[in-house]
Amino acid sequence: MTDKNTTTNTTTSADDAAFVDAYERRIAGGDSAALPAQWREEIEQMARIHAKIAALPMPEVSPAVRSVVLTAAAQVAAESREPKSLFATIAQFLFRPGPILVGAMAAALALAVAVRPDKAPAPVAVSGPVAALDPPSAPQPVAAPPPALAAAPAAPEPATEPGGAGAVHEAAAAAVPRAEAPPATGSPKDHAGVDDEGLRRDAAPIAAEAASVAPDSSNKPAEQVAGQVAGQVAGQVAGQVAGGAVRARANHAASAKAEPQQAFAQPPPQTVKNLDEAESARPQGFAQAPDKRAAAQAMLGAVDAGKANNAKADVAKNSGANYASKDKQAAQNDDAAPQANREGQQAVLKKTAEVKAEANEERANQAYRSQPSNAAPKAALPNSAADNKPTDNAADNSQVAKLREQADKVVDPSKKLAILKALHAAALKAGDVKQAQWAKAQIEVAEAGRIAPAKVTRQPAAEPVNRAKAGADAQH
Amino acid sequence: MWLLGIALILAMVAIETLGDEALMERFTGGDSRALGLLYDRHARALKAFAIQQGAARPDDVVQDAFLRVVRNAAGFKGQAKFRTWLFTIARNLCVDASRRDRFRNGPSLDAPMGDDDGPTLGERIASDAVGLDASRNTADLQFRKVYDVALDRLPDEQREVFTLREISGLSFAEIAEATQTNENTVKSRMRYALKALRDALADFA
Repeated sequence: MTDKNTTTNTTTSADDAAFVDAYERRIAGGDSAALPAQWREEIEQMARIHAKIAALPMPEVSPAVRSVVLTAAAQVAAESREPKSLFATIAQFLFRPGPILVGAMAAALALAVAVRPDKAPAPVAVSGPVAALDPPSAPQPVAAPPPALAAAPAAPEPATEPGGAGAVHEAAAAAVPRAEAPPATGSPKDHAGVDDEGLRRDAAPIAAEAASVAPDSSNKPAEQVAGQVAGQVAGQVAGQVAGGAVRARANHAASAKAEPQQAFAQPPPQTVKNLDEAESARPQGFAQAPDKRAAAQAMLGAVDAGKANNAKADVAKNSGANYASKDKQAAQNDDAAPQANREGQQAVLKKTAEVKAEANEERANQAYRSQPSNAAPKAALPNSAADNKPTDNAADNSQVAKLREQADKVVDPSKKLAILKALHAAALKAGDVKQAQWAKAQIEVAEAGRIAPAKVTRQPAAEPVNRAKAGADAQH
Repeated sequence: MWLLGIALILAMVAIETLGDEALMERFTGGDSRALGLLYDRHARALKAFAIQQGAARPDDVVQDAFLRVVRNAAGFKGQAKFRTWLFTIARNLCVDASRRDRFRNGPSLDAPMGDDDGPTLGERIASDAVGLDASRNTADLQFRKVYDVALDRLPDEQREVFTLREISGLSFAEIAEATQTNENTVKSRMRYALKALRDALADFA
């Protein structure tokens, strides 16, 4: 693409132009006598060549090309002939990127202004984080609460401190016989295994999230305790609730600074004498707790079915525990409750922890019993497990069996927990759903035992607890 | 009745005497016949230009160029000549096609097809392009062959200017606009193209 005569062009451009102009005049029919003498011969020669070139036939264009072009032209011409109505003109004007963008931004701004919480958080707001994360009016796609608690949401809510009336409620709920299905343990029991107000405060929104993601809440046995669900689900829903949780924590901190532990001055535990009182004293944040519990149980069932039983769930659980422990520390810092109240709560919490530990153990056994040989589909496993070759599975299965034997023999809780975790991982790798489920359940029991170690009575993992005995225990 | 026929004939004659820009104005007003007339005026010259520019599929260049004209007719305001616009589109299409074909492995135009004595692919394409048949006289065929070779050996800029001027009929001002150069440069390129062709085709002069 290089012009070989660039230098010449620049030096003799006027000369070139004159030559070309003379040539043009000649081929246009001009007289050769009028040509400059120095170019006359050359121009005459070029004129003859030009005549030969002009005599060459022009190439024919395919008729198909003409057809295509004229068809397109006819379409465009028809469109341009169509009279546009006023509506079409206005619509064409409006549905351009500019007006659409402006309209969308205006709508978004109006929506943001409409939904913005322009009220400052009240100092005596109902359980800051619980109220923020779990508004009572929020729809809960779960089953109806049990009859014993059905009237609870309408009851007055004198207590604003989660650890006070909430703990009483937990105790009362834990005292409900298990034989009654669904049990009147409600969501507070989900937090009974923890002996700290901060953990319980966080457990409520997490359980609410579990309720929102639970596929079905009506088919699970009443004895299943959803205590661990909070930890398991917390990580899964952490992304969903992170923003709200941060805001809720900020609100809670503000309200705690304004009026520290005002809630403890409200109903002392000893004034609550029966379940109805406990329900009436239940804070607003726990108003829909039974529903959440049912949904949480359903979520736990999904976990049992292998849908949430993978390494990701473990990570989520850990993150949830971290979150809970952070808030626990914050609650401890903020806590200025009277010591008398605290002792009463500790007694109640201790009892609920005992009940929870029993329920955890029974749940683990039930999960093991209820597992058929091929209960979980292969697709529910992680891909790495589902894609393993049979030759790899043989070695993995032997490893699983070996770990299972060790898990059955070891008594030390910490060692057993480590072995169970290894067994869980190996079972997942080998694709042994049954062993993985069992190990998972045992891990949960062992971890729950760490929280309330005094009450956990370990039994051989392979032997399910007698169901009648569990029911009898619940009657106490 | 015959008055209506005469009126129709006069209308047809009238539209055919319109200039390119007036035809484009009629086309944008909804008269698709106007574009048909524009096509008939310029399609063959456009194909010849595409061939000389080395387009592998000159018919595609013609079709794409006119389709672009159809699609962008509303944007044609008559500030430039239609022919300049059309050939600028075709030139850009040829440049794009040349860039695409640069990395395409294809048979050489100078390689003989079939037997060693048979015509080359370039000769076959040239013959097909001009629609020659077996009855064409040998002198014209020989001139065509030498002319094509000489034209192919010109630098791209000179060949482009010569083709646009001699085959497509654009003025130097239009060529300068289409190639985005000044008119004196165009004339310089034209002069050296003429000189090279005169040297190559001296036997036919």
